[in-house]
Amino acid sequence: MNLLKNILKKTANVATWLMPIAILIGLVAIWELWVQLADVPRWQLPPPSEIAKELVSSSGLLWTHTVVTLKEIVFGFLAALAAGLILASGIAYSRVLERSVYPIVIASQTVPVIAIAPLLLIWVGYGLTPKIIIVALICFYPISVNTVDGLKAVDPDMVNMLRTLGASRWQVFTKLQIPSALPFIFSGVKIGISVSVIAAVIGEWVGASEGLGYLITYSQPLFLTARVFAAIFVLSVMGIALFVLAVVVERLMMPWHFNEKRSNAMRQL
Amino acid sequence: MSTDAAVRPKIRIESVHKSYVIDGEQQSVLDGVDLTVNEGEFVSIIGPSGCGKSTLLNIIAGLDQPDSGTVELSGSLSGSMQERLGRTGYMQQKDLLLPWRSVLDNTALGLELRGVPKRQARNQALEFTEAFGLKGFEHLYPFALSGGMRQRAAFLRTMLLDQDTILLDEPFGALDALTRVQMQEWLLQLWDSFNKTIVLITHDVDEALLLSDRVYLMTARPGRAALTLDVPLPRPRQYDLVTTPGFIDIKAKLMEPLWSQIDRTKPGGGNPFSA
Repeated sequence: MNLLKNILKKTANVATWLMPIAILIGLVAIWELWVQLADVPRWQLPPPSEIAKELVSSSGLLWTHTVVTLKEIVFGFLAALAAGLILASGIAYSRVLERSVYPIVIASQTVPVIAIAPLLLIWVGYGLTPKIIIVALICFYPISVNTVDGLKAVDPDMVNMLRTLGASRWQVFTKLQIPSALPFIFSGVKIGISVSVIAAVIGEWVGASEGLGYLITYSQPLFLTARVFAAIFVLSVMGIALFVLAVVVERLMMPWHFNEKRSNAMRQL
Repeated sequence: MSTDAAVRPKIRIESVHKSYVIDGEQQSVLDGVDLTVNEGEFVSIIGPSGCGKSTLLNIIAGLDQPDSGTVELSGSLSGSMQERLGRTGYMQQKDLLLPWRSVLDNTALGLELRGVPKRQARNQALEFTEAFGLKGFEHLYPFALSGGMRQRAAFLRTMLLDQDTILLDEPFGALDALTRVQMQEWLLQLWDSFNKTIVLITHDVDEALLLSDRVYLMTARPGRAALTLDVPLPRPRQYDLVTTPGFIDIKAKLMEPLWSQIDRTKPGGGNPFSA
């Protein structure tokens, strides 16, 4: 019985993975056929097979630029994570900070970061730094706002329980608020990581001499369309990989969260 | 029913008033409550929903402040919430276990907060897991436990701090009838061996009489202690006591004023025990 259940569960899992993959393969096949049959000019739209060839033949070039973009993303994201967590903790801990700084954080989101990018070139030049700053600025908002929400969404009954056990304000913060905010923090992290790739590309478009975003702006006027597509492909693979990494870390850090959800769902069946 | 020669009050509350703004209106929740609980006594407070029982416990525990009136703990006037916080063990209806901590780490939480090193706190908790029916479940997360087990874990968390006075706010309210009886018997045994002062809030007349030395009956909002009833039944007690004539006699004494509070013209709606 258990074995049967396990097998059923496994097939269900495989089915959930197979569906989107099958659809994707179907779309790529249609693209390939259409380009081949309608004889679309290659500089306008290369077929997937040609993009694949480009991925292989330019792999060295793509790799060099991937490393640059990845560095911008990782450093920018980590800076946003550190700043976001620290500021959110301050806002959740201190009423004064909440009243004074939090509105500014929220209002800052209305400033288009893309518009700041050219200024950053003036201030800090063309190197990695301006791109890291752009990635950090864009990731910062979802991380900090979600963390503030999470820290404040703590169950007041739990707070009272801890107080009757003699907990100090700081202990309530570290033993209760931070762990109960983790699901929120990871929501912010996942949103941040998803937009970090876009942020890095934008940063490179404004002015750069390396990176996948630079490779795209460099290849486009030369009508190296297959290379543009190859770079886009690498960027999305990078985005997916980073997202999956965040999900893995989330599961490792909060095994209770997912088991609890599962056991609640099972109870409702 | 303390037989001590020198009866020392552990908790003494005098003419405590408390009102809240409810639906935009200032409403009195506690209207001059007096309550005395002596050392080693088991006292229950019973009364209709919303009569301010929980507010009263919150005031004793230091989570809330009365508008007027005095609260004495162990013979000393404890005016501010800070003076009362951490002086009693307080267990609420919800078990409030932290979902990210194992059962053992949940029970050791209070000790940890006091600065006991984590390993030592765990070892101390481990000594009691058997008596609290948690043996073999120490390393599970709370979600994997039954309601009764979760309550016992929360209870152990409260008991490990070794406070003389324990406040219990409907700790068995969320449990099914059978588990509740088991928990009541277990609590009886525990109380016999631990010698604590206990204040229990309950909806359940049988529970109140079975466990207590004395029962306070509170009126519907605004709450006042309407009646105090001694329960002179012999100890140690067991659940089958509830069907004995002596028990029924006392129950009748308690039920009469309770029924008088029920508005029988309203079907169901007038029942103070609904909700």
